[in-house]
Amino acid sequence: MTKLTRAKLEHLAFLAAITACAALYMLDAWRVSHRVENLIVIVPFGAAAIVLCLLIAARLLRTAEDDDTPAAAEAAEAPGRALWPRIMPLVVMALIGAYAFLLEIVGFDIVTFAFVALSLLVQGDRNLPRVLVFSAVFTFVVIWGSKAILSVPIPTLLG
Amino acid sequence: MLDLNALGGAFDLLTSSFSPWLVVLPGLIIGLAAGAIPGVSGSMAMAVLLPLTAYMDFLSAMLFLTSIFTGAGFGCAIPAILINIPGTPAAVATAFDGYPMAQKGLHNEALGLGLGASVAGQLVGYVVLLLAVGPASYAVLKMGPLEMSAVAIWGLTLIGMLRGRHVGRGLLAGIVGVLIGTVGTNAAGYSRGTMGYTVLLDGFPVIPAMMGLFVSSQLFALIGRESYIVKDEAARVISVARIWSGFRESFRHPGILIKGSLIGCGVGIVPGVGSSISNLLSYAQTRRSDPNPESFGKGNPKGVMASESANSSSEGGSMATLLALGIPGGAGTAVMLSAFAMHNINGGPRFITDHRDIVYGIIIGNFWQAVLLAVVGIGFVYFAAAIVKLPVRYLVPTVMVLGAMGSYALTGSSVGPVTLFIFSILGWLLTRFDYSVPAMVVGLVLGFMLESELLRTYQISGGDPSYLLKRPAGTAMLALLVLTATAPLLKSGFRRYRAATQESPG
Repeated sequence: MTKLTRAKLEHLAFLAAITACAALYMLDAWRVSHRVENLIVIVPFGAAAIVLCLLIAARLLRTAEDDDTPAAAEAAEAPGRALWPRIMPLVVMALIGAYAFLLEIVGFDIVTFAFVALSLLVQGDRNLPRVLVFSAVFTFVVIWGSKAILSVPIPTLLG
Repeated sequence: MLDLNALGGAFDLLTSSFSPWLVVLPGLIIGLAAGAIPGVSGSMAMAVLLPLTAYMDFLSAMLFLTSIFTGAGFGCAIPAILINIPGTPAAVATAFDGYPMAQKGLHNEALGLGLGASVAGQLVGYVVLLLAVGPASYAVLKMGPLEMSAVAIWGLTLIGMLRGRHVGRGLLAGIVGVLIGTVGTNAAGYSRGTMGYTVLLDGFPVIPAMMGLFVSSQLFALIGRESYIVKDEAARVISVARIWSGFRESFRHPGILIKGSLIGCGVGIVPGVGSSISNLLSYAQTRRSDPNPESFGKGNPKGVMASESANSSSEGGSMATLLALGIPGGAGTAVMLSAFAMHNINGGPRFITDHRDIVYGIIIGNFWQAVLLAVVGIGFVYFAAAIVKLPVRYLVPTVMVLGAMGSYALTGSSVGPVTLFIFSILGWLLTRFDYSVPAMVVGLVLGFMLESELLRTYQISGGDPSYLLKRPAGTAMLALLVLTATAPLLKSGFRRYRAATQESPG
């Protein structure tokens, strides 16, 4: 067995999550009905997913194969990189999550403007007037385009 | 095969009025724009503009809708090449080599190649349709659920194995995609995996999920690392001359274009699968027959041509199914079927027999669309290519907002944007551990269809395995599938055996 690096542990956790999800899905389907009409895809594909997860995990533990994944490359270069660029994708992802959940609650106009402006600031744009003008113009064009061209009823706060 | 009287009638219809010719240009531009914006598909634009066709005669209405279809068919290649985000599953394989070309500063050439291959595919697809609309419909009628399941599993296996490295991870991604695609209520009425959320009874919305997977797999890898998609500033130039040279270059490989187009036509007639699989099959076939298969996935122009010629020609195949049988193969042709209904016309064998002049009129109109696409496409691509000049920090929020808007428009609620977000996380994890995002997307797209077809096969056969013997075409397809899947294993086993016997001659 080779040394368990951080990247390998992350990968193993990912495989464990897939295995758990596949098993829970099969269990849920089994509870609904035992009939072939219900299980015809879920059971064979779920079982295949679990077997593949186990095979990949076994291979990870046996060999040094994982050294070429982006996760391993990132872990290798982490000591030489500042913290902010490393966590930037996670911060942007959190912003996207907040954007998706708040769109309908607050209104597309305000949330889109805030999301675009914050994304630019988080990614290092320090020219505040440019950030605000770009966010405002882009929000207006997108909201107007969706309403006028696609005729999509979009909830907005400012009308 | 070709009814010359009807052909003459088609020319009469097309030349008696300007209106069939006038609708093509706006249709193409709308289609190109809709295809180029991730989240806004050609079928969505067709659905939104469907009411307009009530004011047109039937031929003009069909030409308007098919021109949007054609424009979007190439339009989705633009984000696939420039930002590695195919707007539809039809452009998945285009991104394999198109994006690496863009990263090398060859975005102009890649877009030109894609456009040239799309034009060629469109022309070949409609020539085949012109000559074989009757036999094609006969072939579709012969395809049962077993054959459809075999095609779906074949496509899935193919994409899982396409990347070469980490075949197991590719297959796992595809299988998980299928499982996600089966969440919700199946064709037999059983609801599974909904976790109590009623919105999941219809399953995960596929397009937002697909966009989430692709967007995150690409954009998150750039955040905090790269300022622009194309690193070298000098390579970010946008040049009509280079787009044109790429366009011409595509016609120097007629073998790839014809092979891709024929694959596209053949697979395009299969309802529900069509362009999603044809681009992958064509890509795999071109890679397999190339003397340098390792160069694929690293910016080989042949990969772009193979994919684009196949997805464009599959339009001709899907039109064959629509016109000859009245069966829509996908969302776009379903909208066209609605236009049929708006004009009190029923598609099917009767329509082909009674209105062959209109069928030929639609086909000839599509030749004109292909020629016009070449001209309009170059102009459109010139402006679209400006994406490479946009800094990554601007690209991320703009693409996400457009994706969220498109998702909202599709689902009519925040379910779409939330799905986009959840699948963004999944896509990020897949990329992080080197799993194939395209494989998961294809699994997701085919999951529901695969389950429905397997279910029908089970119901027809009553669970009797000897049913396979009664369906020789389906059995042959399954045998071919097993052969495709096991060929690399057999090959490496044989190579090892030969090496072992050479090492120990005594």
